[in-house]
Amino acid sequence: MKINPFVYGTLVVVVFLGIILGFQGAGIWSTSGKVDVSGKAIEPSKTDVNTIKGWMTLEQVSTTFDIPVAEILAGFNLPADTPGTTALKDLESDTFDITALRTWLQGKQQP
Amino acid sequence: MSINTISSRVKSNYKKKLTHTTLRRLVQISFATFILIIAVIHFAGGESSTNLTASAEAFCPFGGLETLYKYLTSAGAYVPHTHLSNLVIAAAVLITALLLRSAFCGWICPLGFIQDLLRGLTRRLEKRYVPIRRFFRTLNQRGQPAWNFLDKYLRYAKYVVLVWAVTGAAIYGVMVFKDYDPWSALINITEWTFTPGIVVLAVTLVASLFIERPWCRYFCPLGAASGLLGKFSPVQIQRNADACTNCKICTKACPMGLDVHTATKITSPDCNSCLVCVDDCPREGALSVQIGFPVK
Repeated sequence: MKINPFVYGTLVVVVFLGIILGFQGAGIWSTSGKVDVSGKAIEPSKTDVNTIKGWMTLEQVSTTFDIPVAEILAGFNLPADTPGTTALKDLESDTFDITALRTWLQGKQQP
Repeated sequence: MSINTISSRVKSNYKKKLTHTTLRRLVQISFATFILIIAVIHFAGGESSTNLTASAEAFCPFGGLETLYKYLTSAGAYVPHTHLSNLVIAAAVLITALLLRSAFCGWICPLGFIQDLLRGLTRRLEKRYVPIRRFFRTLNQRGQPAWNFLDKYLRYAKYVVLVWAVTGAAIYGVMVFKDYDPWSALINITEWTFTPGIVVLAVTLVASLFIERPWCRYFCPLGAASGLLGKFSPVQIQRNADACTNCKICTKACPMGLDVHTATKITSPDCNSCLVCVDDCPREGALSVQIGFPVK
C-alpha cells in the first residue's frame, strides 16, 4: 500500500511525540537529577551513594558523609583552593567524576 | 493572460514549493529550536539555580541507550548526565524506527539538520560561483575512486562506536563516548571545556561542507541502532522499474550516498527516510513510500 510522503512525515512526528507524551502522561518522565519522578527533591543520603548527583556541591557531600572538603579534594588530586560551593559536575576531569566519587565514598564507609 | 491562468500558475508554483521536504525542514527547525531554547535557559539558570532547568543532555536519545544497562541492573540508577527522559526519548526513537524506519535521523535529529544546512550552503555556492563549482568537480573526479573504497568500509565504523559506547557505559558506569561525542560537545559548548568531542565536532562540520551527513553515514551510534531496528519496519521506499528512466537523480540526491536507482526496495539500514529521492524524482510513481512485509 502506498503512503503519501506528507502523511508519512506527519506520522513520524505524531508517533515520536505521541510515545513521549504517553510516557509523560503515565508519570514516567524526569529531566533533572534534582527531583525524582514524583517531583520530590532528591537529597544526598549517607546510606546510598547513588543519591550523589552532579548538581550537588562539594559542601553537600562533605556534610552528608562527614568528610572534610579538603580530604575529598586531596583524594582526587583536585586544587586545594577549590571552593566548597562548586558543583560536582563542574569538577569533572580525567581524575574525577561522579562514579569515581561514589566508589571512593563507598570505600570510605566500609569498616 | 486570464485571471484563471494566473491563478492556476500560482497554485502550481505553490504546490511545487510545498513538498514534503518543506514539512521535513519545518519539523527539523522546530526540534533544533526547542533544543537551542532548552540549552539557553539552562545556561542562563546555571546549576545552582533554584528553578528546575533541564539541560539539553536530558533530551539526548543516545544517553538512554548508554544508561539502559545501569537502569535495569542497579534499581533504576542512571549513569551520570542521564535521566529518565533519556530512556523515554530513546524508546521513542527505537519504536519509531521499528514502525517507520530511521525517520528520527532524517526528520528530527538536530545534528543531522546542521549537516544538511552546511552541505546545502556549499551546494548553493557551487551553483553561484564558477571557481567553487570547478573546485568541487575536480575534487570529485580525482578523489572519487579512493573515496568510494573508503566509504564502503567507513560505514561499519558506526556499529563499532555503538558497541563501544553501550558496553563501555555498562562496564564502567560512565559515558565513555561522551568526551568524543560531537553532539555533547555542541550542547555543552558554553562550558568552554576542551574535549576530543570539540575536534570531532569541528571535523564533522568541515566535512559536512564536502560530504552529505558525514557523521550520520560513518560514526553515529544512534543511527546505527535505529537503522538496524528499521530493517524490521514494514515501511520502505520502493522503485518502480517500469516508470524509472535510470536518470540517477535519486542516487545523486540521496544524502546517505545510497544507490537508489539500482534498487527495487531501499532496505539499507543507512537510509534515514528523508524522502529526498522521492521528492527529486522527475517521474511520477517511479519512487514511492510503501507499506509491505518487513525484512524481505
